[in-house]
Amino acid sequence: MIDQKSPVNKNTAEEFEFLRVGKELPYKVPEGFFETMPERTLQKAKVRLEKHKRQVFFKSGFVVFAAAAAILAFVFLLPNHALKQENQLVAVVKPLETPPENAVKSVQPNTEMDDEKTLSAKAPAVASEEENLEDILKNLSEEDLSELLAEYKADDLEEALSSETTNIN
Amino acid sequence: MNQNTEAEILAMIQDPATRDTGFLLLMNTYQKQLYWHIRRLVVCHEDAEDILQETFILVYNHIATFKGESRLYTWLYRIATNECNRHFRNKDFRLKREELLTEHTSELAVGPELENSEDIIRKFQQAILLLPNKQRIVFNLRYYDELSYEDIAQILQTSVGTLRTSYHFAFEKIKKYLVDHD
Repeated sequence: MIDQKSPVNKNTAEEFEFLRVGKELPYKVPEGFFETMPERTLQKAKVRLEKHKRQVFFKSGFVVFAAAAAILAFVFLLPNHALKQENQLVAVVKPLETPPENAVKSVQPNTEMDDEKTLSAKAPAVASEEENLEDILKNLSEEDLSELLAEYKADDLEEALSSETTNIN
Repeated sequence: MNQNTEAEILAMIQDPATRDTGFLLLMNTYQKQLYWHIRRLVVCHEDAEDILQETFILVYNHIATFKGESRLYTWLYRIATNECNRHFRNKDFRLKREELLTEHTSELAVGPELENSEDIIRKFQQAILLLPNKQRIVFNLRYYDELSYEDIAQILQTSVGTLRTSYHFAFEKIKKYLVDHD
């Protein structure tokens, strides 16, 4: 291992300084250190290796357990989830088939889209009612109209009287 | 240690039946030179002991990854040097260097014929400790362990040219320190 170019082997003034120092070290080693070191290290290395193996075992065991749990959860929860979704779909579809009043109530927890659908389904009926009233009013004579006005005024008077009596009571 | 013996030790460690015997043989063969390599870098015996132990534990647990592309001892030096570098980062070693030297050199391990050299040995170690980590490692591997630049290049994963330059700078700095503190 000694290289011919090593400064230790050169005979120059510079290296002479180093040679004067030599390779002595100002350090001491406790007695028996090198005798006991190999056995102590071997025992420690074995303990470390066992620990490492256990860690690897638990890690791989945990991975297997987690995978099994995920598969089981998937198998058991998927049918329930699918059933729930099916029920929700039925809940949405059924109210649309029933009369419009119920439809609005049952659809409310769902989406706005569904609300719009039910309202638009109801709208043509209201429009047709308004058209009929207009037709009826057009066909009325002046006498009929004055009768209606009189009835309307009489209704107002009755309402006013009834409200006064309730306030007195 | 020749290649053949290295191969024998490796074969023993890789065989489960002789693994422990092979490992003990490996430690008995290399522990002293690795201990001193580590000790020169970290100074404190307790730290050197921990790093040496960690080095061999890593070897025991990762011997299967050794592909035989380099010599076994250069692989061992490489692991030990990496552990030392980790130690330097963890303990803010640079700030403690001078303290370490005064703390751990009270019992000087020199023979009676070198008693007069006590002072120069301390100064020499102080000069080495003041070097940047890489220069210190290169200088120690070259001067104390007498490794070839090619082996050091394998240990530190760097080029021979860079190592020669590092060694030259280290040499000059140590020389200057010794002259200044004479």
